[in-house]
Parts: sequence; C-alpha cells; structure tokens
Amino acid sequence: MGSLIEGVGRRTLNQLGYVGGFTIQLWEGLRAIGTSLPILGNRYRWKASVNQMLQIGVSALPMIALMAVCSGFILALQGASELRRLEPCIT
Amino acid sequence: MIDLVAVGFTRELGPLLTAIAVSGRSGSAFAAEIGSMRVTEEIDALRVMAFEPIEFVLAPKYLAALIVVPCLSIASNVCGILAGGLFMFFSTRLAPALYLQYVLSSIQLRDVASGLIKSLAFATIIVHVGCLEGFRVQGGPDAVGRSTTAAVVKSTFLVIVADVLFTAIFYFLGMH
Repeated sequence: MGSLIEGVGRRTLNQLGYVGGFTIQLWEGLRAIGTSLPILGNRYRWKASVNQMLQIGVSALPMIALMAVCSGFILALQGASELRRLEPCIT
Repeated sequence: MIDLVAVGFTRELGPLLTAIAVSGRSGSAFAAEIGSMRVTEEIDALRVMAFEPIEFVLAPKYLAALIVVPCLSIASNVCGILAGGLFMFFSTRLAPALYLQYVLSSIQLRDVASGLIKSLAFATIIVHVGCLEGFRVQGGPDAVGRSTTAAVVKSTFLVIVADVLFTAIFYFLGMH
C-alpha cells in the first residue's frame, strides 16, 4: 500500500517536473530567439538557423508534398462517394 | 465536395500532416543531436565557455521551425488542393479552371489564418519537446535512443492535443 502511494507520488512529481522544465525552456527559448535573428542578432546563430531551415524544411518538402497529394486524393475520393450516397436524401 | 477538400486542408489537415511529418523527421533528430551532445558532455563544455546552451543550440532550431513549418503547411495545402482537383478532373471531367475558381471562392482568409496559427503552435511544441528530451538525457548511449522515441511519441501526442484545443477555441470564438 505504502509503495503504491509512493509510486503514484513519484510519477506525479516526475510529470510536474517535466511540465515545469518545459515551461522554463519555453520562456528561455522565447527570450533567446532574438539572438538568432538575421541583423539584430549574432551572425553565426543566423547561419546555424538557415542551416536548420534547410534541414527541417527543404529536405522534408518532397515527403510532405507526397503525403498531402495522397491524402488529398483520399479526401476527394471518400467525400465524393459519400456525397453521392447521400444525394437522394438531400435533394 | 470541393469545399470539403479546400476547407479541410487549409484549416485542419495541412498543418496537422505537416506537424506530424516534421515531428517524426526533425523532432527525433533534435533529441538525438542534443542527447548525444549531453552524453559526450559537450553541453557542459559549452556552459564552461560561457555559451548558454539554450541560446546556442535551441534558439536557431526554434527560429528555423517557426519560419519553416508554416511555409511547409502552406505547401501541403496547395498540394492537397491540387490533388483534389486532379481527382475531380479524372472522375467527373470537371475543368481545372472551374475547380480553382470554386476553391478560391470557398476558402476564407480566416481559415488559412487559423491554420497558420496552429502550425506556429505545432512548431513550438515539436522543437521544445524534442530539445527537452535531449537535455534530459542522463547516462549512456541507450538513453539517447530512449529519448528519441520519447520525443516522437510525446510531440505527436501533444500536437494532436493542441490541435483539439485550438479547434475548440476557434469554434467557441465563432470562427467556423
């Protein structure tokens, strides 16, 4: 019984610690983001930032375009067949 | 039908798809990068050299994600809507120009704006969850692997939770 309560308490504290760490990091990140702006901030941070943009964005673009095309097809297909089934009820 | 594709993509599906893809692709990379820096004590070395790790490691990633994720979600909106037009052309011979005209008249600016606000929030969640998992690594190389898994799982989950929250907020603000 005691170990059960202890485990629940430890997990709760862990989760609360995670939320607290997340909040602190969010605030620090918002404060630090000015240093990597292009002209106002540090030049090397801006270079690192552009590098990250290439990694996050440009190389992910084909994959995301493919995913979007596939799900656009699926949405149009399902929506069209569904609306065709509902058509007698609407009109 | 055309409304379904256009509004569904600009408001929900585009930002959500983009965020899930980016969290799988880049969130795990952030966690692995920072985690291995942590294991090899590079983070402590940065702190010794008076570089704040948040400013040195996290800020460029955060700025990049804040700029890139909305752009990617606009690209995915465009691709999805064009794919819907292609399907309409092949299934019902609807002229593409007519389709585009219909799409443009059915999208409203506030749909696109709510999608962009959502994707900013998703970018924040992905970067911060990935980096926090990386910074929390303690121990050896196996901890890096666990933190990578945790980053993907937590950021995908939090992205979907944030999507629900934003949809509820926009719904109750009357933006629907």
